[in-house]
Amino acid sequence: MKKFLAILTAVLAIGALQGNALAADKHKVVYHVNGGDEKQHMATLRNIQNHINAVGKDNLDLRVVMHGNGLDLVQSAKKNNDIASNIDKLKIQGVAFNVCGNTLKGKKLDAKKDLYDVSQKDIVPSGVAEIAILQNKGFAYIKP
Amino acid sequence: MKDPDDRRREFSAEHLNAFVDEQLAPEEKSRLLLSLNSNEALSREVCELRKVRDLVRLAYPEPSAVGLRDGRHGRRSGFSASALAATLATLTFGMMLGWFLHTRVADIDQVSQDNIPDATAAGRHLAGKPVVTLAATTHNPPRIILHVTESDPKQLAEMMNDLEGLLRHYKAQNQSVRVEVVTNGDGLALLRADVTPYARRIARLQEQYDNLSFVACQNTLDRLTKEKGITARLLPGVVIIDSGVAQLMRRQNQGWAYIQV
Repeated sequence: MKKFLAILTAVLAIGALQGNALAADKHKVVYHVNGGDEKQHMATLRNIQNHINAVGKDNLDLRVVMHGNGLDLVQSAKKNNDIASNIDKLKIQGVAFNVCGNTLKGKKLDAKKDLYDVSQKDIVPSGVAEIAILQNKGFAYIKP
Repeated sequence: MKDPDDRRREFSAEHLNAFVDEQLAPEEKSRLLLSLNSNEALSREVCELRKVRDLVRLAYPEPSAVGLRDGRHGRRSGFSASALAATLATLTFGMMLGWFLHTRVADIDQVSQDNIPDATAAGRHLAGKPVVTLAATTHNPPRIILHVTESDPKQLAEMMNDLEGLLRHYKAQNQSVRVEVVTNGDGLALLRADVTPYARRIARLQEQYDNLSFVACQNTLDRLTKEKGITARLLPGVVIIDSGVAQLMRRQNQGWAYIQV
């Protein structure tokens, strides 16, 4: 009986630990982009790729949130093939690129026409609020 | 004659407990019983102790039953088997409870994992309303620091737009939010009465939103005086804290979201 209970306890303890390990979430990271020129944008995309290389794409929930002049990133990708192809590569690896709805309104931009590969589901109401919400959900904040 | 309160103190707490547990020697016991008859406070106290003892027995029927029933011989074996079993059972129960709760938390987490991003996605179709409502129900009211370190006019202009957009966004959602604008280094220019282009706009925002504060860094103020001989005059309502960087740390430790603008 004692042995049985001891074993039962051990099994349960191991189970609990395992559950813990499984439930341990992916790394959650938000990259904040609110300005910069094409050179800086290329550097940001490289940062993100290096981040994925280091951690593995399956272990990451990575979001890029753009607002204000940060929208230049997806605007310049319309013309700059290097930026566009880097965005494509990152998207295949699960990176989300979100743009700020307020900025779209403020700058009178048409997401479909003016921005590279931005659909309705990529638009958040407020970029700044989105970053705050993500941090509340445990996302680490990185401003490259 | 002593007053009843003093007489009550004739018996220590251990004394009374021993009495309730029937561990007193006969003559001690009769002395206490005698006092009990004439002292209401004392009898009330004993009554209370008895109640506690009964409650304890009620809550732990097994071990106390074992302890009471078994004589000197049965005691040892009784203790190791039943008490050990009870301990292990309690431990196991605790672990199961922990595991269960943990799984539930993980589930809830999963729900928010699954729902909020999707809701974010879906919500973006619906002008984003569900996103914020969901976030509002599962998290504290958002508290956000905007960190200003540059005085570049273009960046400051954008920062002011971000700030106002943010406040308007949460007001439109009818959701409470706290926003603190922390300035240090060159960013202090935003709050210096002599150089800021935004004195009136900041005054208007302060009036409009009482959930908004502007913070200046004392270290930066000191450095301005020391290095450039400038005694900076700040806008009305600006709070001065010891160190901007320390404030960022404190706020993030308190769970504030950090955004560098």
